[in-house]
Amino acid sequence: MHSRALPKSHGKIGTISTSGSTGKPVKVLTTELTAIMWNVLTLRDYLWRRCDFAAKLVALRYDPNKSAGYPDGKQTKSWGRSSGGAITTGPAAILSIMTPVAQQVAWLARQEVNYLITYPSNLEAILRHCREKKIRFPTLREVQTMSELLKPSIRELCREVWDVPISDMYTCQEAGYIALQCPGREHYHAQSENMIVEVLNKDGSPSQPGETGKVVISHLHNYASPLIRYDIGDFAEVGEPCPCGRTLPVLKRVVGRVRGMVTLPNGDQFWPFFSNRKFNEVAPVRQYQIVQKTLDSLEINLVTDRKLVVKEEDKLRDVIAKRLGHPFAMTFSYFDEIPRGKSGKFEDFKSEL
Amino acid sequence: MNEISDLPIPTPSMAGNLWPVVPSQRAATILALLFQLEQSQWWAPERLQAAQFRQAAELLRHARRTVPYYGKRFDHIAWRHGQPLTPEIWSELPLLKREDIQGAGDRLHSRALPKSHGKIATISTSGSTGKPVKVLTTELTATMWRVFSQRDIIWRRCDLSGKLAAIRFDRMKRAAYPEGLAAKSWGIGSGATLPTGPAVVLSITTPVEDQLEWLQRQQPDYLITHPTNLEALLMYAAQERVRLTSLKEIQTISEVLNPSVRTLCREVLGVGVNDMYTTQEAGYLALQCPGQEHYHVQAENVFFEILDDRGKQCAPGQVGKVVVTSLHNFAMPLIRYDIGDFAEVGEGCSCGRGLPVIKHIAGRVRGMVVLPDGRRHWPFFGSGKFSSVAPITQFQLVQKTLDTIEVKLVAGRTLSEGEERSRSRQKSGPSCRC
Repeated sequence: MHSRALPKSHGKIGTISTSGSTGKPVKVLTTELTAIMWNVLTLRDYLWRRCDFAAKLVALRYDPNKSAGYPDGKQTKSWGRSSGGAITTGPAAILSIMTPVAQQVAWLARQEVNYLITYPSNLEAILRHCREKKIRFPTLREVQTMSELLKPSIRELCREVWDVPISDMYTCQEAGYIALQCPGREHYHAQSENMIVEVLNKDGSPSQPGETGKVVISHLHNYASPLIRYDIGDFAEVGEPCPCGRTLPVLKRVVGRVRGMVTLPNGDQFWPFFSNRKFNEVAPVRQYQIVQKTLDSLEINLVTDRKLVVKEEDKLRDVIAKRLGHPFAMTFSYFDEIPRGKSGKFEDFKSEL
Repeated sequence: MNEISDLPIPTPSMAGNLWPVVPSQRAATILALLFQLEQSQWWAPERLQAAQFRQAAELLRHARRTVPYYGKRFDHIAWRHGQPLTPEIWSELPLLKREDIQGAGDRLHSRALPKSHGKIATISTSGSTGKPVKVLTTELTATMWRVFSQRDIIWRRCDLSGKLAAIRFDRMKRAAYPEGLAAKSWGIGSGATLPTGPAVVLSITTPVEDQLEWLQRQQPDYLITHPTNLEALLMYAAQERVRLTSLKEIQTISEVLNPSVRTLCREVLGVGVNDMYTTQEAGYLALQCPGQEHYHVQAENVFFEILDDRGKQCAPGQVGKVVVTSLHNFAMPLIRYDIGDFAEVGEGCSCGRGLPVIKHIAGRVRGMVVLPDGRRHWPFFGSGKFSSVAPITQFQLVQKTLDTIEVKLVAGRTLSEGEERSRSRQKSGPSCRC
């Protein structure tokens, strides 16, 4: 997969390993050119969002070097190479996403955060914690989410608890920016200058607006290990052209990965969305993760305020079965905190089929 | 949508990389500056001036510390670096005259040019006043020159794939009739940054009839030349009933543009004239507003003042002398340089740009006529008016004394006495001997 004759002008080669959340890690070569493209689109993201570059950016994210642990995290003078080199920015701070939620919130309260960037699942946990404790960050202007699927309910929760909007982005480690949220809208614009983004139906034909298909990308600038029509395992819904005037193709929704799909015994597959509110109506559930183990059995991992009584478990069974449309066999396990994947990503539903 | 979004894709510089292009270092510099200029042109005048003064303060500190001439000359100024530079402090700085530059010699050269400003070069101004001036330039000032030439092309929304013809001064004598000089691109400023169509150059000393013949052969989309040359061309084209059908626009440079030439150009060739205001010493001073006939100061390049006789800022509608400060020349700082031109201050522009407006560039002192009663003004002669009374194709008026004018003419035949008399009186007044 590696070029035997990379043009010199593309610069030095680096290697990245994808998170391996699928259990199948992928190694990809990168070049200085691909790094430039990554940085450029980071900058475009800031410009689209009309960020105030003098503000403070705070990130709760994967910390591979373990240099941003609680209680201090890591403080930096600028937002990072992409913007710091080209545009003078305010300071930034980062804390490892592996930090327990209550400590993340305590740390955040010390940061005078203007922009927060984190994973949707982590944001949701923080928001729920803050709702319960009535914690707000008055300096916060916007939250950006990345790396995982953003459920629409989190946008609502963020408005309710902190009264700030979420801007989401769609990236992959192998090829960088796939799509950025349209400024002022909740759908996404493909970053066509970086890659060709195709959404394909099962028969390989291009999906039409309203149709959901698999995402296939071709990175236009990686000459070290070219990724041509790479099926990254995600699914997305194609959108109508955007009234904002940008002609970059529209992805209405990114619906997730194959392993986020539930499979019913009759063969039907879909991406389930669970609502925390529904769970809470029947039991004091703080965090959940549902794992499909076989065609007709699920494992329900829970963090709860107290041990649930049998009646509550039964009610949860009903809620889940109703949502999935099938009376799965369910076993319950209880945790103090459900662990994240290696790269800090969290999936509230995963299929092991 | 802004103007930048209409630009073609920059010139590729990397193997296999066609879009989006990672430009060469030099082109990237120019594009990065254009990106900033795209924003700053819309800033409010106050914000622009604040940015100018921040830059001017750096220049002032540098000049004081490293340029012997200014060290002494600015001795009395109380301002110290680190304090805000205000218009009041600025107005205390003495003006720099052409004679001062000539007299100062290398005492105007910095003894410690920052390395990052690049290599030093020397330019000599044309010396049309008979007093040539030598100015040092740097790679930074050269970069600025290129950037503003790009902004000009962007403002005019030029079709960069078109063909550009220039009839101009040909120092190297390589652009003589009948061939002229052919180039693959529009020049240093554009070619390396954005791909352009071809360009052709012809020496401005070529006779007008040959120029027109050359233009007919070249079929350019854009023509760039001096206003006086354009006027002569237009008159000849009108006489010969020649039209240049490929032409989209004409740009004028280097001299004062007589407003009548705009009208004549529309009449004869059916295209507009776009004028610019540059000096060799300080580069781009002003560009014509897109869609209007006045000019916008290139405030990112120069601090531009129009001052009355008492040295106060002129108000809109007033004409005063032009004083410029090149914000980026650290090799030979020109601070409050009285370039010998006069201009009229304009009102804020309806286009939305915050760049200051020059309503009218009136020209040089030596272009003014002085009447025996002491009144002075810049005379504009419409060539159409001349040719309506006699077959005149070129003229030059030289005021020799308070009441005599020498009239130099190129005419189809010797004029009759009546023809000679009928025009001269109307403009210069009956008391002048011609």
